[in-house]
Amino acid sequence: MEAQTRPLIVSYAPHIRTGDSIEKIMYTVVVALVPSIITSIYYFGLRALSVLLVAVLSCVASEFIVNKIRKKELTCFNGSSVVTGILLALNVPAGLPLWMVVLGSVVAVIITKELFGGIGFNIFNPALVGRVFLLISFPVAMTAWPVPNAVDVITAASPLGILKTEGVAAIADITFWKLFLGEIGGSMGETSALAILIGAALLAVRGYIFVKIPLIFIGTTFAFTGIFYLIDPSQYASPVFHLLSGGLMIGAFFMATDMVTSPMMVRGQIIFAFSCGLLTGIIRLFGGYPEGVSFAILIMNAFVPLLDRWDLYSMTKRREAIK
Amino acid sequence: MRTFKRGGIHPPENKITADAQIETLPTPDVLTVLLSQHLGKPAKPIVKKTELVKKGQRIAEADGFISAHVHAPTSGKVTAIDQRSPSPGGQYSQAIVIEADGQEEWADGLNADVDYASLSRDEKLGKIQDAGIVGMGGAGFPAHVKLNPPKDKKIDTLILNGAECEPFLTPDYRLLIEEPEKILKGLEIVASLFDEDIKVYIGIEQNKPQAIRIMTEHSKGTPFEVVPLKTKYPQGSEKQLINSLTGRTLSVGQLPFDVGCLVHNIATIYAIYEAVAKNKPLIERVLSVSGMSIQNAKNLRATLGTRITDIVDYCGGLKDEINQLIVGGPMMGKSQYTLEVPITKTTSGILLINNKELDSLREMACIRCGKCIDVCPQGLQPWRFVDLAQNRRTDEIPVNMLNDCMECGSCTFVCPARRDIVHWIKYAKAMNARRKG
Amino acid sequence: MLNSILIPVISLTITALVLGVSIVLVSKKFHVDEDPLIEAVTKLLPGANCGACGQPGCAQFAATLVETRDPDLTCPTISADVNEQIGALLGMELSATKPVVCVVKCQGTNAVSKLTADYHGIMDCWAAKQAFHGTKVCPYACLGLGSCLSACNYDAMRIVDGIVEILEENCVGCGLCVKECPVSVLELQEKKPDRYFVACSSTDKGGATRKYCEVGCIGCKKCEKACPVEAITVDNFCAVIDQSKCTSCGECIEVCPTHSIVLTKDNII
Repeated sequence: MEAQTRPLIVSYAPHIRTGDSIEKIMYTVVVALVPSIITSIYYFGLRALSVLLVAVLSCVASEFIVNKIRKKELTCFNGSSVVTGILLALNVPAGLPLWMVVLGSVVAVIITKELFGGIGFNIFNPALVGRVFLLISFPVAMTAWPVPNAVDVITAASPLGILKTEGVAAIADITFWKLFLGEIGGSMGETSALAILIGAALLAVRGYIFVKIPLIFIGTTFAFTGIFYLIDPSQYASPVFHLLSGGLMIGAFFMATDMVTSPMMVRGQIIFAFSCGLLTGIIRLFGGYPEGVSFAILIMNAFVPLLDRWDLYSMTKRREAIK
Repeated sequence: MRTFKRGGIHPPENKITADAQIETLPTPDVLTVLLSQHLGKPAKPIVKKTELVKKGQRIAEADGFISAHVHAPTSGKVTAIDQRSPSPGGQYSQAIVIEADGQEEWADGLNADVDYASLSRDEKLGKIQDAGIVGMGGAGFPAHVKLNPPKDKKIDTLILNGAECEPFLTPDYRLLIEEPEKILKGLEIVASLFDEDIKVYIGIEQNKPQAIRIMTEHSKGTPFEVVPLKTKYPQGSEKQLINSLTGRTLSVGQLPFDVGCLVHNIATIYAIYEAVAKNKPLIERVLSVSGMSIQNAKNLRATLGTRITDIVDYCGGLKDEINQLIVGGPMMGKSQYTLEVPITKTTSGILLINNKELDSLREMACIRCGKCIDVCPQGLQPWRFVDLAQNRRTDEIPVNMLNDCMECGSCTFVCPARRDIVHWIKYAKAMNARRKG
Repeated sequence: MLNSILIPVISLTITALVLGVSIVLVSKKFHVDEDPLIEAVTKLLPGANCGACGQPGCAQFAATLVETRDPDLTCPTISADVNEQIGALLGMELSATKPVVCVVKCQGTNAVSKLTADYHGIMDCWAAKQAFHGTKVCPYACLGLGSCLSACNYDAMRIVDGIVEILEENCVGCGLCVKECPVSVLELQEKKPDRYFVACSSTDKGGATRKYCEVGCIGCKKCEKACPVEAITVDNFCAVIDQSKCTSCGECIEVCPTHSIVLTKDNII
């Protein structure tokens, strides 16, 4: 029989918690991104690995530095910086100069996340802001897509790029399987739709992403591009092509579902996903850029606090109305 | 399978005492009877130091309308009126300390059979009040007040709460299996206080199939309906139970009698039977001693006022050093700072655990995952309450929403950022009360 | 080419001019006439908007003072000098402000006062009082979790070893922390060159106090007997020094067996 000598802990109810924690969620997302990491190295070589490592290290280091300056507890190891680093790397061309990767990471972590207050306080998706910053600042380097499986470093336009500049006829030889498996030009992680779907399935099973957001997002883009394809197939590419090329898959499953920057309640999530899909379609078909996913998500991120407020207001009104 | 519409979680059940038959704990030498074992004003002592008392004798009188009497759990001598006894609520409380003489001599007229069928409604309520019966599920609301709602509230549904949704706790379950007749007779007594056509439900969670079977068998021929309920926390909360069984929803600020319902805990009904049929005041109760660190987990029938150290000794002591002692269940129970705490009318369980996670639990920023909103059975927004409470802006929280929170703990259970949501909500409520008064 | 520069420049210039003129006109039309005295008084105030005077902010205090000319409306945080200056501005005699400082009537650090348990919850004194009766066995002790600290606008408090410590050079005596304390262990006392006070609020019998705290007042009355001017009274087993009678002779602190009496030298400007 043991004698009780250590003081008892007094905490407030409840005294048990689920196994989930922020670290667990973040590292599960990392595991879900492993298929995409593998395909990126497979198609683009070891340059992809170096971009990935540099991105992750720079993101974690940036958060570490800010933690130290703020004299607060270290949050850099909770996994969110690692996820930002991986997502940023998967969104840039494999041949991007490493100093640009570092710059993008610093912008993503310090400006988008830490300056707003750290994890949970940022309005915009950090990886996307980093990517868009690089795109606008270094447009040439950011659109030099390496050709997959090439021995030498050759770059060519991505399928969406070809579509924008040369029209539907030029993409006729890009088959469905090439698009699905990823044997096309594009950023490191967006090419292989299969890898992304495997990762997303893991997260959906665990309940870490709200599945309705990517499904509505992709569905809307599919429908929007589909309508125009039906109107004029010679000017607009098929919706399946739009689905599998560009950053739509990775954007819908990993960026739009980021908990901090997406709405918390159902109605907000539906509006968010639908608008993202619509904006992506509009930018792709009628805008100046060949790819619209990043911009669409960032624009909708800005509306998320408003959507949450509206849902909060409606919920309060509905409760008061119960008699 | 009936259940409530909104929210809810399913924590690991850990009902390790489910098959342990109720054992009677021998009355200890010293009993610390707290004067506040119920909601409302504490009872006022009517005995003095060195006075001799008999078992079941009233030793403290109810103070006011919402209050209850307190009785001596055994015969003996009053050795002290302690002003600073530790209590399960956490605060220092007034208590009457009795040294047992081992005779267990009942006071006159108590522990005798009564022909209760011929009693009037007021007489029955009077017996319930005399026995000092309160809601034994944890709230401690005086039963005679609850059973006598305002005249304009018509009660058409009576619900017996057999859900016992908290992990680890099994006293109600064992009572259902071992003493179903007494419980049904108690239910009859309560039902007789209202109109004849009152509908009576016995709600039991479906993880207790034996209890459902036994109660269904014994209630054949009675108008009582046994309803299996889906195992979901907080099924045992009265608002959720009413919703599951009748489909009615309580709106902001409403109480069960506003929708014609009355909910009672099993132990309370058992105590009501003993009070009306046998003239026995509330001086003992069944509780579960559970947790991974206790040598022998048991269900005990213990005398009120027994200190937890005595109970732990009876159950073989501790296997290893614990870091938490919880009175109640792990979801809504209170953690204690000493083992010298006595048990009261509302103590349904004692948990002795070594919660490794607590040593390293740190609150992090809200990541807006929305899980707390999904699981809240009342449809509230816990993340927003915490946000405003931390910034001391509690006056911006709609008061009716804050009061609707019953602190069930579902939100805190699922939060991945480990935020102490319920504590902040309680803090916000207290802050608002301070601001007003 | 010149056209493509000229047109934007001209249009923007015109827009700027129009907006600028509108702003000037609007500010003139909606101008609120304010007594210049109010601004002059506000400048003399510390500007922390602590609310100790009872008004919602320094500017409102100045406005009310100028309007009502109430001599009893004083700012507790300013020195006698500044108070005179304000009086001079308004041409009236204001009630004298007595410099006060906040005092903690407890010395129960974790080293000398028994703890009840290892508290894992919200680090706030009111929150701890809700979860259980408090971090220390002594029910009158400072809980040391900092509710008072969060109320202080002048950075005059810090938590050291489980109780709060006042940084006297920053404390202006506004009294907001006193209102925040759940056990009322903080008190405002008038500044004195040698201020003696009993740093204990425990009204428990001596034996009980001794059990849970090494420096708590046990009500032995040695100080009451030693005081030559009868400034100390022991009420309910806790000594209290009447500051108006105390002559700072120091006899009490010599005889106190538990070192509950504390001497602080105040810096009075």
